[in-house]
Amino acid sequence: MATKLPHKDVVIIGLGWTGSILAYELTGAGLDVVAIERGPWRDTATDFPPATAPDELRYGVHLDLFQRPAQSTVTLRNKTSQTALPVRQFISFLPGNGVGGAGVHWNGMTYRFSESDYQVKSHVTQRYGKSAIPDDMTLQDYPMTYAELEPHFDKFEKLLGIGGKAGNLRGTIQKGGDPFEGPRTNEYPNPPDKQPLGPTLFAKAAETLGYHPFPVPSANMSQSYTNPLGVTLGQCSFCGFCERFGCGNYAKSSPQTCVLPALMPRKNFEARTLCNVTRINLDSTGKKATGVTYVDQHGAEFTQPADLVLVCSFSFNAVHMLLVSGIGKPYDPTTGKGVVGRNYAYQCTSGVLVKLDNTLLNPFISSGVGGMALNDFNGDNFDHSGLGFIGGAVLQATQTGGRPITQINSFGDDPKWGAGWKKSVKENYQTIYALGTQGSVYPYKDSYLDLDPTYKDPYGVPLLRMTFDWHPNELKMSAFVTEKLADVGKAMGASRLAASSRKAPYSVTAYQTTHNTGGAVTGDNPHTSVVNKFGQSWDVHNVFVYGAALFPQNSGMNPTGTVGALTYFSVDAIKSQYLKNPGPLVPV
Amino acid sequence: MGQAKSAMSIGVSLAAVAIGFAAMVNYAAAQSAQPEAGAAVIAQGKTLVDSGGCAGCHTAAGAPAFSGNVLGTWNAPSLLNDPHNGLGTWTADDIAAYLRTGHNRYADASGPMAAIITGSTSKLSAADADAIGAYLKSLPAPAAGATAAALPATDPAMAAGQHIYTDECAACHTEAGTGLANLFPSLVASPVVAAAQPVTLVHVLLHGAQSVGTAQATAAAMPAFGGQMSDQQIADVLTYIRNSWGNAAPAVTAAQVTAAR
Repeated sequence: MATKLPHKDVVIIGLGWTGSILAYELTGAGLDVVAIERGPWRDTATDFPPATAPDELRYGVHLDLFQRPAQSTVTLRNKTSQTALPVRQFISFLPGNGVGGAGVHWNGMTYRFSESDYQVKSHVTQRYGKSAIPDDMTLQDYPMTYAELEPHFDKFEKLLGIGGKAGNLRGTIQKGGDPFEGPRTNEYPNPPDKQPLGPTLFAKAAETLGYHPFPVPSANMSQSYTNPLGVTLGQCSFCGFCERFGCGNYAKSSPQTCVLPALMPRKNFEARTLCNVTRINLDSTGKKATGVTYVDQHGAEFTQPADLVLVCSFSFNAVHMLLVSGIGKPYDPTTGKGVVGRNYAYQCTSGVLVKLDNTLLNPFISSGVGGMALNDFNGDNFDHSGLGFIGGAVLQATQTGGRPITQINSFGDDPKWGAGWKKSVKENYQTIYALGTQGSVYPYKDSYLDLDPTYKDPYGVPLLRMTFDWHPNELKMSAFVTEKLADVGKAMGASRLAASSRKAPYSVTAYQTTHNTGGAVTGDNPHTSVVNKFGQSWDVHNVFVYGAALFPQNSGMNPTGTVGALTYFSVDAIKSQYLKNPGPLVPV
Repeated sequence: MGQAKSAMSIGVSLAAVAIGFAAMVNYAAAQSAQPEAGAAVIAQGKTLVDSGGCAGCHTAAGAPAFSGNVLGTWNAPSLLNDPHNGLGTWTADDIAAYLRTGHNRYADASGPMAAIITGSTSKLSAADADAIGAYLKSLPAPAAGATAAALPATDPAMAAGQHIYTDECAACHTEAGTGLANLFPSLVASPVVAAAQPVTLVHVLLHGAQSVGTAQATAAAMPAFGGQMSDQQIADVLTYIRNSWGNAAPAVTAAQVTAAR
């Protein structure tokens, strides 16, 4: 029997980036807010001090900061004709766990997608005609433009203290920045990170080919920074332990370093950790949420009544929450009807290894971002006529460290053990650099999320089932951009080079990216979206959804910038409209 | 038992200080003072410092006023205008910022002072905090004694300490010991570092410390190293810190660390 707790104005499910921003904004508006987080409390000095944080075995291999499959996992299949099996070890993607969420373990690459990415369906149709979009591709526009999101990107970048170089300031192209980006109102709040040798060589080579390299926008502080909340961050020390690790010296933007010091002292905020929300409760009409049910670490069940329920868990976990709570109609791939779980997408990555003789790359000198990128082959920044695919990828030189267990690069035919391996590692460590692409993945009728018919989590709730495989459009895109990246590698003077573009089928047995998107997409039509432009459920007006689950499709860049902008876009509407007059913000 | 007693007496005196300051918080407003002359501001600062009870902690029995004191496991550092063992490098603005926020470009408050800042000085008006800064800066510098010489870098403890410092400390406090404004304390020209009895240094390295959180501050924390480093390693790195970047102070011994555990 669940214990009923005293009422709160707002309950937030998951205390990561979006949860902490919303908690700060809504406590600031005077509301009584509780955030319920499945994982533990995490604090910089006690949980990842610089003296113990650089532990590759604990964090990089045993994945200390991540969701454990024993807490919950997903089942996976490539085709609807197959039986999905549980992912028993997270490898391909790594959902975060605990306060700070992915904001603790991320590298900090904080892009804005291309302007046309937000209206990609209209844009592609206009430029190439309807026939450029494959029949089974369910591409759709965001319900707002880049221009509408711009002030919210700006706010998010200032919160985090992103370091970078503007490429387009109010329509004027800036040297050294990304000339393909949409117009920015302001320069980045911090200058770009210093560049290690690898990215420097990459940028030089890219320029000789006529491309436009720019420093990757970075949440690793290039200098000490105090954000608009009055919170101060330190300077990145290029320790080489960023992705999969917490930052010990307050130098990586995270909820811990950017929001929580300002949020936690507020008396109208409470964080409840090691408490797992199992469902959102609805009233008898099914059109209004009454709060959530959760289970604490001792197995005791509670109901937390609230006026407003904000779903802030990792993208596919948010979709799972909607499905198990009966919010919105589940997507059915056979009829194409229903929306929850529809348009699940991923990112299509590939790599090029280059051997640069007689260099000392010193890969151990790395921040999480420290790198150069080019968008010449991303989105629709290039003419796709005759190429047979749409979309593209960012091309990057962003090797994030030289850690001994997982970051020793070698070519396929290098010895893998024994004296030969030792000899090749000695030669390769300072001379092989890993370049990469992050490509768009567009949505398809047969790529979706639903509830698994067989496997259940520890609470007896069905696991989320993921049905996903690569489609020809993405594989052609990957082949194209990987070849372009190899051209840059050759121009770097590589004596050896190995390019590997993405190949089907999709497999969870190698790390690719944690940029899982979609399933609760934002839109202006309840038949093709789960939530309206403000992230508000079409069906249950006091439930709002945040994070990359909102993306109608995935772009060829890191998603966190857009996640942040959508969050501020939504909370503005909650504060200025919804609180005064709770109800649907967009008429159906 | 002795330790428990001294902790209790600190608690009592802190409460008294907090009450003293609370009563004085709006001194400037009450006086409706728009101080014209430096002297008036300094006098206002003196009144606040005297009634606030600063000397209760920062003055040892029989020692010159504000020349520093030891309270159990914490130093109440010298507030005199000594650039090595006092507030000589601080401006009046630095003092005011520290009192109101717990942080400035050199220092971040923890320990008993954190409680004073939370309970009292964070509530000072800007004018009152400025006045305290002006008064403390008006205090005479202590008579110049014989300048201590730093231990040479070749000293074995210094060599060992330097390696430990680079591995464990420099990521935050920087190789130059300067820390980062409002986040990580500077170890250069710091009265806590230079104190004759380095009790704060030993305590903080063993047990860590949480800097004070105020409306304007991040409140970074220092991790504890007591479980990870031996008494000798802690002594060596502290000896290095106390004798680098212009600092000069007696070596810390392993026995001092052992006694503090």
